[in-house]
Amino acid sequence: MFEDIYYPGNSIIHRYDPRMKLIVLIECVVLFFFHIPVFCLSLYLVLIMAVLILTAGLDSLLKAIKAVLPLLILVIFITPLFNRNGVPVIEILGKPVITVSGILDGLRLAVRFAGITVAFTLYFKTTNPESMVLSLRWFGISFNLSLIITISMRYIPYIMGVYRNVVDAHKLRKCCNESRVKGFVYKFKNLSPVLISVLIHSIKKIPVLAMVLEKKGLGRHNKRTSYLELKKLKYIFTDILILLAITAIIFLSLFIMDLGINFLNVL
Amino acid sequence: MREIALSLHNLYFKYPDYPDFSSHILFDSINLEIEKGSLSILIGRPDSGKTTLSRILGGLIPRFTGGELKGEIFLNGKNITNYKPYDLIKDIGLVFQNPEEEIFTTRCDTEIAFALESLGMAKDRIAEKVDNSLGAVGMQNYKEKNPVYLSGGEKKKLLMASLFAVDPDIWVFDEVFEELDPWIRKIVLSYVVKKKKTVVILTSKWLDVYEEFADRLFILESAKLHSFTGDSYNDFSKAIRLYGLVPEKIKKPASISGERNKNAGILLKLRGLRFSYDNKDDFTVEIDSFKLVKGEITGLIGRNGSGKSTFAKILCGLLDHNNGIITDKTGSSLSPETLNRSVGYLFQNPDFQIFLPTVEEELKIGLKYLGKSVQEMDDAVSKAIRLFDLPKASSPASLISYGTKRKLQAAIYYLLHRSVIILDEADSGLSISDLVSLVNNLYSEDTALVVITHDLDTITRLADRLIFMEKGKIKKIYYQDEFTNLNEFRSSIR
Repeated sequence: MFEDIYYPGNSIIHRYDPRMKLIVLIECVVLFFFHIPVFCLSLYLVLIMAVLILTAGLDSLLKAIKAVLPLLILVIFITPLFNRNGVPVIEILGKPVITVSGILDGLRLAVRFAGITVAFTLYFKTTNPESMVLSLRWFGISFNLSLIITISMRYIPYIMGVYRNVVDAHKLRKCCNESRVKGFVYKFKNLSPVLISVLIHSIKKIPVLAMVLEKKGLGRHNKRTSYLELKKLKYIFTDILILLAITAIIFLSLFIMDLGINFLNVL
Repeated sequence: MREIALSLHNLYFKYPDYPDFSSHILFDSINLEIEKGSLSILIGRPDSGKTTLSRILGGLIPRFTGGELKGEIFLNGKNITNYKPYDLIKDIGLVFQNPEEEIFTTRCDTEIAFALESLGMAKDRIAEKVDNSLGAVGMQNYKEKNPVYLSGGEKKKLLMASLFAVDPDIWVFDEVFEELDPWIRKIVLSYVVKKKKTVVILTSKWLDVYEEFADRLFILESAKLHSFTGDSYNDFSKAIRLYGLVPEKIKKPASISGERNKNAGILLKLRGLRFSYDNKDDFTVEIDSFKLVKGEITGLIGRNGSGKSTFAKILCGLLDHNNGIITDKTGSSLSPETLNRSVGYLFQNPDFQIFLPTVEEELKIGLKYLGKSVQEMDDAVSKAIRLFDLPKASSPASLISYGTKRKLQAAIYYLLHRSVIILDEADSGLSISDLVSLVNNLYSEDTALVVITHDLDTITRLADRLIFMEKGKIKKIYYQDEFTNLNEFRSSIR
């Protein structure tokens, strides 16, 4: 069984139509790919983080950031080494090693990556898998493919759930007189049985899942019906308006930002 | 003229061989005929092939596992040997032994609806069937609940409800009833008998409820199937005893019964415990006072979802209580970490506890933490394999049966000498003989055993006291002299 990333709730984001939410998600991802100043990109990130905290709690945000933190740190420290144009910050033997432009590039990539992570987290935390399948089907994707996409998305939290179970199982086999304070090497060595266990369990899950899906009739040739249905478009007029408003705000903010940058350049 | 619903002709099956693990022939020329509208009980020890047989009937094996299948399977005279699982869902409905494997949606109603959607049923009809089937198993208020937060027994009830909704011709239950409340066992069996469904129950042990409904008994042993048509319960009972699935006499370990007021042997004391889940705010465990004493066997009983497993996880430190204190004999507070290292807990679902590649590695890992030498570990592993009747050390742990995994879980804690061992739904997947021998092996004068079970008959013969839990609280404690009068508990599970 899958442990879910979905955070049940009744916030405005939870209630927002899943099809429109999917479009907003795509808009957010595109937005974070725009080459705009780090400061402005950070403002979008802060805004989307605030929405996540308000709808799914601070814990959801912290978990999402914690999961990608090593990658963010790596990006911040590695990227400047590949962009040595502009004003040097650190020089070795007269050659620039770290530059302002490189640092800004690293930060931009990190903010971009964090922004996309938070946007996806917000989507998954506020959209139950059934609605996800329905909205993907509405966009013309087949049921099987929609199911595969949602199951794949849920596989990561599932592995995290398995990891917690395995850690619990191993905890219960530790001995009483074992020292509580252990070094990094010891901890790393003890991680291997846990990781092997998680791997075995996760791989084993795949044929079992296929078995269960066919047992529940997936693969039949008759037309599949749906117990849950999305609202007809005429009943989600407000949701469509909100989508249009969000799109307009994004474009407007980008336009104002562009004007501001040009103005600063002229000065 | 008798009508045959299901028949097997010369069924042969063998799983593929793996490196260091040669599979044996699981079924050798099995023949079986099951009459339409009959209820058959098929009993076998762990690893006898019950789950495999159920999955062969459902078209899942060898399709997903590989293996060599010979012979023919007929359903109402039609050869279905090579049918795909999705083409059989209206004919054969199967409930898995391990509900964790089967449930994958995020709401109880969509779990039930999934198969109905596959059948192309109209939306309104699905809604009606979902409501009716949830109501039939007493889960009408669980419609939008996420199954992740259900107890093991509740998950099985949800799967029962799914079968009610599809309503196939043949119902196959793979070790389903052991973890269910007696009232739900009766509801399901009364329904299928009333609707003249053909039912096959694969199980490791005979439950009282079968006495009323069973028409046929099959015993699966050494790749052969032995058939019994009894006129009375006694005929079936004799057959089960003949094959050693029930011990002649349940031998109770020499326990401390009668010493319940002594405090000298206290292992754990608990006061004012309060616990609630973050995502399950309507459920709380509240235990005012509780203690575990050396040499005592405690039975933990209660309806599905009454909080037995949650309480067990608090006792072993896997869940940290919000309020209250757990202390040792001297009154020193025990942290969850200390509890982890002194209380053994056999998870309700062994798949959550058995992860490593081989039986040997599973048994050795705890000994490695204890700093044992290679020789000491090898000796201990050999002893545990012999005592708990486990497969050979190099056997892949993930390929052994559910019941054998239970024995392996027990063997792991046997080697670690935990002062408290909790067996969560320990009897599931095990015959009564296996359960009794497991309890006897784990028992020592310095250990307290807590056995969570729905098998009242066996636990009253093994335990020194029974703790009856209801809605997260200890409702009543029964001591041995009160075991003949468990009316309050019995009325709650009817």
